[in-house]
Amino acid sequence: MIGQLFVIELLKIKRSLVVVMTLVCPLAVVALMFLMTLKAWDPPEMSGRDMAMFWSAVMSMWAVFMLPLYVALTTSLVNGNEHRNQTWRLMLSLPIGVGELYTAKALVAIALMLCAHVILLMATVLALWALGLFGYDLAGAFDLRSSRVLWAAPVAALPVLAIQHGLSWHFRTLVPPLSVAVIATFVGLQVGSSRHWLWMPWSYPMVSTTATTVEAQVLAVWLSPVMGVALFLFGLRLLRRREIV
Amino acid sequence: MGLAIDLREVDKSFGHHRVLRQLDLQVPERSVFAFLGNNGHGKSTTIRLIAGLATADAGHVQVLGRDIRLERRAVLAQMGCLIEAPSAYPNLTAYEFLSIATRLKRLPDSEIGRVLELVGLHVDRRQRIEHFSLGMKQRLALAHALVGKPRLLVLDEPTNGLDPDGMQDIRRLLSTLPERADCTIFFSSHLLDEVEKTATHMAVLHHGSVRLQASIRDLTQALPSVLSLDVDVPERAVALLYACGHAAELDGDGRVAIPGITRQVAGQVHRVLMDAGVTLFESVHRKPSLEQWFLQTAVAEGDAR
Repeated sequence: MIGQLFVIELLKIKRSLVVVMTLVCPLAVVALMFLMTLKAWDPPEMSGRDMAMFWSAVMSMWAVFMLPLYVALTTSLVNGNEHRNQTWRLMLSLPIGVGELYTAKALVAIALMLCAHVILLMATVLALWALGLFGYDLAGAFDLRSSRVLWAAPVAALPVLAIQHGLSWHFRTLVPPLSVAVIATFVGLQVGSSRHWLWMPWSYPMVSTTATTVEAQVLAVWLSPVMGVALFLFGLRLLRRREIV
Repeated sequence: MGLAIDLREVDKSFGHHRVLRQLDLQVPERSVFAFLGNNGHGKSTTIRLIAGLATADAGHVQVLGRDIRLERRAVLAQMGCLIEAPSAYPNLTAYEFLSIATRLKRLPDSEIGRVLELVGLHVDRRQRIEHFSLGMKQRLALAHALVGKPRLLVLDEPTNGLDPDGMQDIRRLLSTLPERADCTIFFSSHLLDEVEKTATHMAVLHHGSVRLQASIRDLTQALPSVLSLDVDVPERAVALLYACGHAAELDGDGRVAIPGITRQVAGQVHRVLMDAGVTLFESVHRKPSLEQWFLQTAVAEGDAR
C-alpha cells in the first residue's frame, strides 16, 4: 500500500511548484558558484587542484544554506497540497492508514531531495565543463579527496526532513515550518562550528561536508539516518494520538 | 432488512463542548436516508464518525455490520464518501484525480470511465480540475465517492453549490442508485424539499441527539391534513362549522381551514355549508410539506424554550 501511496503522492505533485523548485534550487547554487568563480579568478590563477575546490564550494553552499531551506519548502508543499485543497478528509476516507499516508509523503520528500541532489551533481559537472571552455585548467578537477562530499549532505539532512515533515503535516499554512527552517538554518550555521553541533540537526549537513575533522564528518553522516528515523517514528507516534480532522 | 449504519448511545465531545449525546441512529440497507438538522447540531461530527475520521468517546458505531474503530479499512473499502466541500487537486485532470481512488481500491482503470459517465463528466475527463465550475467539482467529488460501486455512500450536503439543473441531476442519480447499484445512501441536507423528493427515510438531529427517525412514507401519512375551503362568506362559514363542533378557522388567504379532518367528516362539513346556503367554490384536502412541518416544529420548539 505504501508503494501505491508513493506513486499517488508523486502524481499529486505533477505540474506543481515543488517540481520547479527541485530543478531551480540546485541549479541556482551551481549558477551562483559558477559566476563567482568567473568573477573572482582569472583562468591562469587557478590550477586543476584548485578547481577540485569548486566541488566543495558548491556542496558547502548547498549543505549549509539551500538544502535545509529546500527540504522545508518541499515538505511544506507536499503536505500543503492537502491543507490548501482541503483533501485530508478525502484521502483519509479511502481505505488507507494515516501512518501510511504520513510515510508515503516522507518518502516523496526524500525522493525529491535525492533528485535535487543528483541535479546538483550533474549541474556541477556541467559547470566545470563550461569553466573549461573559458580556459580554466580542469586537470584534477574531478580528483576528489573523498567521495563523501558528493553524497553526505542529503543523508545528513534526514533529521531536518523528519522535523519539517512533522511540522508541515500539522500546520495548515507554510508560515510556521518555513519560519522554523529559516531561523534554525541560521542558528545551525553558528552552532555547526562549535562543539555543540550534535544538539542541532540543522547543522548536520554542514558538519558532514565542511567540518575540519574527518571524525566529525563521519559522525554526522552516521548519526543522521538514526536520528532521522527516530524523529520520524516520534512524529508517527504523535500522529496516532490525535484526530486529524 | 439489515442495517447499513447502526449507532447506539454515541457520545462525542470536543474539549468541554459535548457535540453528540446518546445518539441512536439506524439506517436500513438500500435506503436513501436523509440526515437533517440545523448547523452546529452535530451532523458533520456524526458523518465523520461514520467515515472513521473521528472516534466516539462512548457508544457503538457499526457500519456495514462492522465496528468502524476496529475494522476501519475493511469498511472504507466498501464505502464512498463526500465530506463537506468538494475537494480535489486542481493541478490534476479529472481522470488523474479519480485514479487515486481506483489505485487505492485496486480497481481497473475502466472504473474511472464508468463513474465519469455516471455523473456526466466523461467529455471533461482530460481537463484540469482548476478549470472546473463548482457544479462540475461537486459532480467529480460524487464520482470519486462512487468509485468501486460502494455498498454505502455517505454524502455531506451533496447538492451544495449546484445550479437547479445540477441539483435535479444529482437528485435523480441519488434516488435511482440504490436500485441500480444495490447500495445505501446516507446524506445530510438542510433542504427539506430535496429530502422529500429524494429520500426514503429521514432522521432529524437536534442538539446532538436524534429527535425523530422514520420512513418518509410513514411520516407523510402521519402528518395532520387540513381541509381548506374557498367560500363566499368565510366568517359565516367558520361560525356555522364551529357551532357544529368543527375546529374551523380562517387562514391567511381568507380561506376556511379545518385541521385534522378525515374524509368522512369532510362530507359532513360540505353538507352543513350547502344546507346553510353558503356557496362553496373550492374544497381541497391538504397535507403540509415536510418543510412546513419542520418549520412549524422548529418554531414550536423555539416558543417552548
